[in-house]
Amino acid sequence: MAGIISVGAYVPFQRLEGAAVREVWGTGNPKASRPLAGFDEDSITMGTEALINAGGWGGIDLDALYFASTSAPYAEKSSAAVMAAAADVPESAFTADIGGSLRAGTAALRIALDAVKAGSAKRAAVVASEMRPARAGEPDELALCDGAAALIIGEGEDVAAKIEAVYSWTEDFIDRWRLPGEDQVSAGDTKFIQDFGYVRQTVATVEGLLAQTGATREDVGRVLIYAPDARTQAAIHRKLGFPAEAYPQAPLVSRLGDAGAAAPLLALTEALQSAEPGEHILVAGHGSGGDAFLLRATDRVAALKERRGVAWCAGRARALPNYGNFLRSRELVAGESLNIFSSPSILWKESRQTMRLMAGKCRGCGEVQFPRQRLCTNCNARDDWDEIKLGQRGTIYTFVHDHLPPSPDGYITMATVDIEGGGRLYGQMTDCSKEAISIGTPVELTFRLLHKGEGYYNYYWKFRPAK
Amino acid sequence: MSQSIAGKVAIIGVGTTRFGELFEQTYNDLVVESTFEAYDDAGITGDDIEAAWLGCYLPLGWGYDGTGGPALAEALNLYPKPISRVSNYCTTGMEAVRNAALAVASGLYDCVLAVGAEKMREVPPRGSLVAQHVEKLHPLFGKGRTAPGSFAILATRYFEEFGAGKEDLAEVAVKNHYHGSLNPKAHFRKEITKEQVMNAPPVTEPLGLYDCCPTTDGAAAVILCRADLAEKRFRKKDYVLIDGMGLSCANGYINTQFNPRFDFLGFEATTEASRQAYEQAGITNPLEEIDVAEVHDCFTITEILNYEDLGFVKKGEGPDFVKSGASKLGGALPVNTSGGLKSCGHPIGATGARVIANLTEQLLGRCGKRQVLGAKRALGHTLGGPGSVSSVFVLSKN
Repeated sequence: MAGIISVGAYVPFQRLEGAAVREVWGTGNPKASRPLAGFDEDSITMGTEALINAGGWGGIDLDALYFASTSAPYAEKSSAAVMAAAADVPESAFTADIGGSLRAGTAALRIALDAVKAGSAKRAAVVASEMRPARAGEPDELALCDGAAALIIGEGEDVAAKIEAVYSWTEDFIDRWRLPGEDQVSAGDTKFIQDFGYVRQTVATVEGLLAQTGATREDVGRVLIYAPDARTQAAIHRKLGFPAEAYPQAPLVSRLGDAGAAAPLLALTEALQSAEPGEHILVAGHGSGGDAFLLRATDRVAALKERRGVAWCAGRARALPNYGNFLRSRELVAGESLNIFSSPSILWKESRQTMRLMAGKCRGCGEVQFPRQRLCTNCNARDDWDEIKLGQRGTIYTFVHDHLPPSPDGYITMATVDIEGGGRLYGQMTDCSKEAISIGTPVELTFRLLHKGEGYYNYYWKFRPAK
Repeated sequence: MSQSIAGKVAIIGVGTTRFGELFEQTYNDLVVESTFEAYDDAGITGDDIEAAWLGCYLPLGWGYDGTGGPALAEALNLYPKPISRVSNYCTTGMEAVRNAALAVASGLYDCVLAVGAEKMREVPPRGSLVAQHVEKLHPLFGKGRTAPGSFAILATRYFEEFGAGKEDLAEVAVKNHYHGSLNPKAHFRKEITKEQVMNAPPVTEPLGLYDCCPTTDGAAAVILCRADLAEKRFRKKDYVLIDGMGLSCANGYINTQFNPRFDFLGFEATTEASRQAYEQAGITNPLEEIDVAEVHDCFTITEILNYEDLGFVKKGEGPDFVKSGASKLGGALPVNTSGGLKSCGHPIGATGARVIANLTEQLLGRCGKRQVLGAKRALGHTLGGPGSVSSVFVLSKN
């Protein structure tokens, strides 16, 4: 039976604190603390990190990759293709970009499952990632959250959680919406959309699944329901009528916020990382109807604990250092604009190096070199390289805090890093304070938005402290 | 190397503009001023010039200034002579002089002109050649590298290895500002204190504002001739001879900081360029045999590293060398008596030619308060790219 082979999640380390918002605008829950994509993150970079967390470093064997988001950086151009390159997925993999609804995450899961069941893909990844739009000072700024989840779907012995049943239905409904180019989500009447939208539709989704499978409410160990906020979720829980212990003690929406299309899959990755073999898990996504899945953990489920997930990311959380700089970095207030050179033909021809981080290892002398040259700088051999993937980790050989380039932090830390397994990389650090950096600091690579030169997104790798 | 340059080429005239923020002057103004000062110094006119080289690192305005030979011909009416432009990062001005010297040594020309010129303040600081690193260069590899950043990153490692600190770098800034205060053509002509250096705003930590040379306009010109003609044809009793010159590209431009064999404690380009120049000049103990030096102090750390790479002292002894006063006027080997790049500023294409001009004036005893008494032998050094290319000259009084 088809099911989930691996999981990974990524929640940005940066937290927007209610207190910081309140200090400026006078409103906002002072206890709120929600994950906020850094100035160099977006739904592609967070999704890439989640996918690598699920599939590992150095090539992920997939036949299909489905990227689900309502906040893809490009309105036109594949985001899944960027992610496939950065996570080092074979070029033979089918990729698709799925959006348009907060149901995109569970929709992609259903599509991936169908592809595996139909035999068109042996292994398919679903990545749901969101960087949700909100205006400064508006309630959504603290209610929404950014993050990504990745699931790898397949069949056979490796399956850690079988997907036993799926139920979907559709009913056109205007609850929340956003038109192209708008920078915040609009919503209908709160009471109407809660009662007739989130609660009624989700109950119908879950009851449809139970009716289809014959499962009772007592058969399900955990119930993971999407809702835009904790209050609505509690209302759905009450109406659904599962035993209280089936619902999460501290649901993600109350701990982190509303991660949109990524929310149901984030909840699922987290649940699977603590699930017992044999346990049944029900997960439901919502949006003009809903998708519900009934899963059952296998003996392999314990292996998922080692994957980086919500808990791993939460352990690295740090408060946003400066709210004003954040607003400027999101272009919510004007800042210094740079006109950075880029070229699609350069990005294309060097993508095995810049995206997949393929270095050259000289067949003659063993020198690992990045960026790769035609001639080995050590022994002069010409075009005699084996392509090798750079390691994910390394240690800082030397560094500088450079205050010249405009940056939300006021400076950019550039580091030269000796990579485990050979090669030396020089690039920017991210997600760290000056105090966290010294010669010898262990660091790891993280995929980031470097700049928007020539009006498109230029992605590359940065370092962050490994601990 | 089959032959040495030593004794083949003479410098018979030099000229430099004032270095500074020369908003009121055009590129051609700088070229004309520096070159005519050199003509007068040599006692010649443009008619005597048979060929010329222009050093300009990055022409502004899509080649409006300084892109090729015609830019120099236009300013100086040197039609229809053979003129070309050279560019080799921060060694550019010295590279113009080196190419001119090679042409004379080849026997093809008797008298040639080398001009280095750069207008850097025609644009706001963010648009300057140095700051544009962030906007230009490779779209991804090393993005975020800046000129001061690529030297500060050595300071971090150097501090770790040798236990040195910011206070050691400050010694260089204080010394070179003192020298600059004596140079009427320097961009900065004020002495500063160690406290000012230490408390200055950070630029590229560990470097602060006073660890960095300014963004400056300027030009310098050098007239070279066959050594045997200096007296016979040009009637010079006192002139300067090129004893040796070396150039080394020891790293690439983009991949310097990616090079696993680069220790970030000094520049192999300098070591190799000086080895070539010393060999031609017959120098075995530079500290003893050189009387005055102009070295590339784009940032204070660079001067410390230069002492070591040029063989004045051993690796790790650079801080003590400056602290001891050895590199100050009156010391064992005064370094950057002009004020260096730190006080003169660094119009990139001009700097190397300015170094040759200043050393020529030292060897001819024309430096007034900055004069190193009895200077017979001089060393000039420039370093460019992120330390990947270096040029070294050894000069002597005839």
